[in-house]
Amino acid sequence: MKFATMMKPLSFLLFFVASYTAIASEQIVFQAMGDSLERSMKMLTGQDSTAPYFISYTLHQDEQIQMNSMLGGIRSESQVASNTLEVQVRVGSYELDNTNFLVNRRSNNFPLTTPDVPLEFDYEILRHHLWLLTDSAYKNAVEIYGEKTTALDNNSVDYEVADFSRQEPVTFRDNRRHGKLDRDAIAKRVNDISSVLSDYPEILNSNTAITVDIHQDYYLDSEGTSFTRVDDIAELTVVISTQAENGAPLLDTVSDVVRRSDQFQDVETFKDEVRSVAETIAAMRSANELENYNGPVLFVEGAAIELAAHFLGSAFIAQKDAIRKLSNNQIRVASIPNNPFQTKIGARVLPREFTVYNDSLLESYNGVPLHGTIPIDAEGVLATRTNLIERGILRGLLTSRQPVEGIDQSTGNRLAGRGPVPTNLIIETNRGFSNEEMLEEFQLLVSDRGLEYGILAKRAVRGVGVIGSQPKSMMINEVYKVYPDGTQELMQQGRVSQFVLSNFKDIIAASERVNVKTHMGRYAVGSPPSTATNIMSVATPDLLFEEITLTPAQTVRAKPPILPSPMEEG
Amino acid sequence: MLLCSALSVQALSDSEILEAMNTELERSVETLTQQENPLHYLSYEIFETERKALASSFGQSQFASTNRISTLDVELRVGDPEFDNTALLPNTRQNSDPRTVSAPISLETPKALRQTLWAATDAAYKANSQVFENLKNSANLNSRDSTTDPDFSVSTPQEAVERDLKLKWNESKWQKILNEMSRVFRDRPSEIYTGGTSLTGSRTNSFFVNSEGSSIKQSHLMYTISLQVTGQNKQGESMSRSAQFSSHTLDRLPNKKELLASAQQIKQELLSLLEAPLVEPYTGPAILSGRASGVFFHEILGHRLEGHRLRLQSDAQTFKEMVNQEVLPATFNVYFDPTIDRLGDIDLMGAYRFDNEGIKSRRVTAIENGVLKGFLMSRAPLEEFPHSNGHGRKQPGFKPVSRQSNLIVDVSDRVPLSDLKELLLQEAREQGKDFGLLFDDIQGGFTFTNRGMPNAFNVQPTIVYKIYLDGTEELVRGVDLIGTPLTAFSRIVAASEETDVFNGWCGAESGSVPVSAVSPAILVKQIEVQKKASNEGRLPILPAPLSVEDFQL
Repeated sequence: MKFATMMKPLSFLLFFVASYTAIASEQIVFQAMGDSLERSMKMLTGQDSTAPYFISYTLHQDEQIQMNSMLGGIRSESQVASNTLEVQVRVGSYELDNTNFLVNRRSNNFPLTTPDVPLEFDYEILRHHLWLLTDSAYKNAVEIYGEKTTALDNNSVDYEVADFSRQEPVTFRDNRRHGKLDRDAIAKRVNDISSVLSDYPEILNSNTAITVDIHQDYYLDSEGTSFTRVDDIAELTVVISTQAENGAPLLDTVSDVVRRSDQFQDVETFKDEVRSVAETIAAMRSANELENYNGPVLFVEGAAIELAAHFLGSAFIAQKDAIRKLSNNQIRVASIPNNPFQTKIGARVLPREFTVYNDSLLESYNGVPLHGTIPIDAEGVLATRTNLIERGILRGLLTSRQPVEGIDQSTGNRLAGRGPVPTNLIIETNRGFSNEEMLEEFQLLVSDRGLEYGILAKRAVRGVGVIGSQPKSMMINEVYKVYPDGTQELMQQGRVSQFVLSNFKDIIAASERVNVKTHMGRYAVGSPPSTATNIMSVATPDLLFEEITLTPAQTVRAKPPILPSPMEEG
Repeated sequence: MLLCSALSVQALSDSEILEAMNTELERSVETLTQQENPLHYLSYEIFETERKALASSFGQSQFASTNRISTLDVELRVGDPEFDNTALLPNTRQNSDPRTVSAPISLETPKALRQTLWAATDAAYKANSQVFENLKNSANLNSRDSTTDPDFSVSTPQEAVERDLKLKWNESKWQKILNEMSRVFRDRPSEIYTGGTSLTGSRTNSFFVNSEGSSIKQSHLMYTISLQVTGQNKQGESMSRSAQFSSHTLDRLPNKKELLASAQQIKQELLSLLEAPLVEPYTGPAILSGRASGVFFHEILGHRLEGHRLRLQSDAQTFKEMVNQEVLPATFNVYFDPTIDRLGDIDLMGAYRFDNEGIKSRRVTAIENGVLKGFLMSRAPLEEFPHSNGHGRKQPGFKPVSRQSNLIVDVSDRVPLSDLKELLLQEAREQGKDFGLLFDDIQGGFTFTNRGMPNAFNVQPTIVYKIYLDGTEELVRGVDLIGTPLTAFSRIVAASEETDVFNGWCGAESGSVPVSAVSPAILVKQIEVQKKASNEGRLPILPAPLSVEDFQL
């Protein structure tokens, strides 16, 4: 009893000390940023060359553990703690500034970063680094701005959309708690999961990777916005690969992506999912090869989610055309972000039963937690819900503070990389079919086309969502032929090819069942495009299309192993 | 937010790992020697590496990391030792990929270990068998010269198991020392832009087995303390000074007092360099300090003694036909000795017991009394040097080739450094020069040995003094030491009694490997310097935000 009584004040004291330290650190960071900002805006305005109209500072505080395991044993692991300072300096005006301009394919060093920042916050040292980084960013901005204005003066280009949107100042402190980095618990989990594959000698190679990242941002800008943001991510991925009897490579991935490691699904449940995929892929070794196919395809579960995330998700990313200066001093508009949806606002892009929105504030859907949730984006814009498609009509797009034609304000979706990305993407239908009705509808389409079978796609691999009007492809990891009598035949893996956004208009039916999944979204954004990775959740029904083209996933046929694997030998 | 949890060590014992490797090796050899293109040699080398790093900037902890990784390299040869998949045929496209079949591997369960060995062997056999098939076709078209050196030298099996070394340090104690050191750089905010210190430690356990019956486990430790300061002079030129100390054990690093003195020294050197005048291109006499001379010999001599280069038609092969000829003054001896791990107070980083081809390391006399005696050999033979002398080295993931180890320049006739300076001035007077140069410290260098470009070297000094005829010394900046090898050797006239050590990393075809160079200071009758590549930028527009008084020192 005495023991318990003594512990209470101590626990309180520890909590108090920890909280006080965090607050003190935060004060030091914002004090240093604020003083630097004030001095830079004031003194650089007095310079002869162009004055900055906007400066922002972000301090990224990061602590991470990564591990890779195979068959119950760690192959590599790393732990790192570091802080990175990021500075944006914009000169000119909101309408025309130093951004959105490339010389050939060279990036214009925007924003600038330095990893030299101490782990423990120190006012003087932060001021020192902010000074040097602001100075470099400012000189770089002036140089780019001069080159850009000269190029625009000497070439005839319409430049009507502003470079940066105005934003009301916001003060926000993220009080969500951080996850924990427990090295031994992480190692135990990853080894426990990877050991499941020891029971499958047919699986020739596997890797189980785990990353637990504790991340905090401190942000301040010259418009008066100030925020802190908790941006932890915990990702568990199992990659399973083998070879079919005909030599075709077979591969699948099982993942669990959450914010904190205590949110990972129960280990046994996840292991069951890994077993299920391992069994399917093992069975696929002797499965028949998929022929080239054109006809009805029913996307269910993971395949529906990947289709929605990467094909539809990328179509909502709105980006301004970049201006590129060529080596002969001429300029041209870069075609990379040419998103066909940007010219289709108000037009039908999905059947009228569909509503699509991105809601960064939504924490769960149909009782399933959504982990793409954020309170504020990286540019200090408060998160919100954005209606994208209403009754099949395109109503909006996701933007950052880089306006696009027709949308001059940010939707608060700039998270990683250089462009906006979806957070929680929700696809709803007001006419959901039961599973039986979906299959019936599917069989009807197959029969109408006089086909021997239809295709059911169940799992798809994660890919990078590419923005643009060009036809896209996507690997289907688990695919079945469905015959008129309802028999399903597992096939070797296939690939959706020649998929264009207008295919979405031809969705024939959607299920009442909703698939919800959080994963790492990967989109090629910016110009030149770079892959932005962010945690995002997707909720979508199963989707039935009338006409989709599928091809075998791989044309490579490697020789089978010369020796049996040691696991096969037992 | 500092990390402090320890990484676990391998779960399998050394004998379990070696046994699993041998089991899989035997299984593969049995089958793959029976194929149409038979395997004639197979080796597995597993590197289990643990690295830790602490860093400090201006008196504050800046960075902390630990990582551990195990990787497997498979060396698999198809054909026979005379002619295999590594053959270099004239007039044919050659397999120039320096990388080997490599894969991450777990040393915690036998299943994972053997599965990875099997998969990597299968990939290596298929790739090399295809290469060998192409080479056979080419060899039929281009009759192989009967004088062509064989592709591989066979060797006797070796067995050794070294005890595990532990990578261990008191993190808070070392972080405090690093912080104290980097705090030294804090009092000149207008001149010193970055001022950092770091401690890195790495432990590598390597496990090697081959089809000749070798079975070797080695354990290496390396600790390095680095200090670096950067700034910008009034012309906008970025300048830096750094110092590094490496050792095999933590207790052999310099003590705190010495480290603080080193921090003060590089700070003062940077501040002096910021004010130092530029030196114009010059030819004339110069002294290369022991460290500078070590790098000089590494670049201009060492790389040209690496045996595998002498097999390449593309290489200039400077010394191939000069065996038993005089190439240096008769007082000079140069040898490579990976068996020495310490010289005086300084640990040598180029030490090892077995090379990456399972050959026991040994001392190689390259120059004796100025006469060329031999080359550094891997298992790629030369006609007159048919066997390896234990210098087949590589970074994990690469194919081994002959590389340097501990290069030691030993001169029989030496003078004190003060006398060497007198000789420098005498030489300058005779050549009608106003000064001679002293290259006191260097950051590294590089050389070209191919025929397709000038066979030149470049040694990059960081601290250079003009020594005027009256003996006064002036720090100068902005030059590199350049030249060609045979001419440079012919101008060496004297060496000092004092020797010094340069520990560093050498990068070449087989990746980056640790090396050392030990040399006295040398006087060279005539050297040439050229201006360094410009790195001028613009000075900060705003002055530093805080004055010295604002900083908590």
